[in-house]
Amino acid sequence: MSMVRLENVGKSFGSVEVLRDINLEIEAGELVVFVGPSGSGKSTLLRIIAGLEEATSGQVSIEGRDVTFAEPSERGIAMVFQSYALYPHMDVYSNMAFNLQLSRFSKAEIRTRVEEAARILQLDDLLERSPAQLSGGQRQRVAIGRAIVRHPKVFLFDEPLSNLDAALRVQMRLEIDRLHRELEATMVYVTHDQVEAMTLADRIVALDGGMVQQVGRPLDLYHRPANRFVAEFVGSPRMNVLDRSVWGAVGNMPGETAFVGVRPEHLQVATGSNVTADNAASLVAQTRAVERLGNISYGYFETGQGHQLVAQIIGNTDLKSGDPVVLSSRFADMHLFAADGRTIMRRELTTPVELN
Amino acid sequence: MTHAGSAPQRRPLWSKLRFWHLCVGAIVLFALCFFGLPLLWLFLAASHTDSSLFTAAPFSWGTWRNVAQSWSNLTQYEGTHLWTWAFNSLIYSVFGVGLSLIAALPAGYILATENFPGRRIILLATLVAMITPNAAIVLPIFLEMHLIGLNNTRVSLILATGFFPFGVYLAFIYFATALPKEILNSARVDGANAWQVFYRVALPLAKPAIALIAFFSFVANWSNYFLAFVLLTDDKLHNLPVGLTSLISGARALSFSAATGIPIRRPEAILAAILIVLPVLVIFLFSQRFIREGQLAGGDKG
Repeated sequence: MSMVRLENVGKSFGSVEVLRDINLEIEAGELVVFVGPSGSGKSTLLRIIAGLEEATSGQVSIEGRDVTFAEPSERGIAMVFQSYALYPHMDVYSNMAFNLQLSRFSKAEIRTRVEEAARILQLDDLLERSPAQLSGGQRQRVAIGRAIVRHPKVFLFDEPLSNLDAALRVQMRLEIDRLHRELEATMVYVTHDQVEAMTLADRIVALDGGMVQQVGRPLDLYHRPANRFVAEFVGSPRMNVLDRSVWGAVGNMPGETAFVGVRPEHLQVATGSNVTADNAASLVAQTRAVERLGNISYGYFETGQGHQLVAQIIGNTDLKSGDPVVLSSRFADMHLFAADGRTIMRRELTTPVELN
Repeated sequence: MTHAGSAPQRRPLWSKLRFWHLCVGAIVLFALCFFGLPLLWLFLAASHTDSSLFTAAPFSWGTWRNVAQSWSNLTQYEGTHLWTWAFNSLIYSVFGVGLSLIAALPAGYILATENFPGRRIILLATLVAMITPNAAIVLPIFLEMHLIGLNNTRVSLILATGFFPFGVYLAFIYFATALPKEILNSARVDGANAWQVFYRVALPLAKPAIALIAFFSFVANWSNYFLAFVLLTDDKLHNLPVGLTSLISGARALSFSAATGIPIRRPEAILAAILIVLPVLVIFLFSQRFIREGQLAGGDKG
């Protein structure tokens, strides 16, 4: 039986439809990440699971029980908010104990649970502090601790790391991953950061325009995007998607192909005329800019017709702005999209797909 | 870093501050003329006798004996029920403040956090009630109290002042703008029911608003003259403003005509005014600490 089940869930605010026909099952112990640009409805979907918003249509069940109209407190969920939302008038201990007090746990039981959570999150020394005396990372830990003490059926995270600086974000990301494994808990995690999604998720739900675009394991989404949106949203820098005519006639391209996508790491950059690998398509472009990150460089190019492309170059390069280049890609590495954005599946797709 | 020429030119301090200083100075001067000086004069004037008020230099201190004399004149005159009036004032104010807090805080909270049919109308009505001058509704209230037979009772004044639309509006503004919604949502997820969210989370965080509403309500009730004057005819039920005003006008203390023989003259009137002002000053000094305290720091990302 699935832990969380959404059936035909829809949500409208007045005449604005923000979610349409969402169907999803989340298994026990799974970490599912909702990812999408802002306005995609991912946070609204999470709040519908939490019970902070009511679905306009459809049904939400948790552990097989219909909770579509249940209060948040009746759902057995715990939530970590983007803004942390700690209680400023209570110290760290009381913040974490609040739910247990409301649920009338014994004093001893409350103490045991809070201390256990504090140990897991390394908050032992901070229990007497007020939230105002904590750093951003510590506040976020308290917010997570508040969720842990309850032993909820489902943890809900609403962009929990977006207020932290880059270094802390990586650290907390690893910590959430560790928690997920240690607690074997079911977690639903919302983010607009596809790196967070790729690194944390057992499964990713990519949302756009209030609809599910694709559900799958992170590398499935990367290597086999269901449509142009997922192809462009997952992966950084984003996939180069151009009109098919830019590449000319290559390989055995189906007639319905309207757009062709190539990931930056699949573009070969050549400065001479020494390109023509087997089965490769190529185009001529000019270098616009080069970003050197040390281990890797990104070249930004523009074709004669003004199309922009990004290529990843391993190591360093002596390429400079203005240099003419030839960009090429194996046909097998190309993603083909129909005019409506849907991916055209091909047999020849040989990109190695790491499953598990 | 290149140091071309000299160090960067720093603008002289006075050029930045002059205009700002001028503004502050003007405001301070204005406040001093029309608030500070009269208040100072009020306290000094209590130390004079009725005649030395006019003969002594302005802003001069008389004697403590004069103060004592005026005080005993004021308290010992048989028409004076000073302690009864002060007690009444206290009762009216304390219960008025309590009742207006009990009504205003939940009302403002619900208006700010829930969306229900009629919400806009209620908000609008609150605003209208807020800007309606007290004098306009005194007579209807009198008739209303007459109808239910509460005229000339303490309860009538307390009930009539217990609804404090300005307080509802203040609470609404505070809960709608200063209190992050996610903190309330987080309490809901934590298992608090609507009532627990209010009194365990929203209310403790609303201390500044509570202090502000209590203060304004106290000032309004403590200095309430007209409503008390109309509703309460028995002088044992009068509050300080009504009691002292009737005493002073009865004694014609402020007129230039010959004395009536009642020992209530200008110094006594001044002492009465101080008696009314002083508690408000004390309460203000006490409550502004809560108003300025940062209650919400640390709850969110900050």
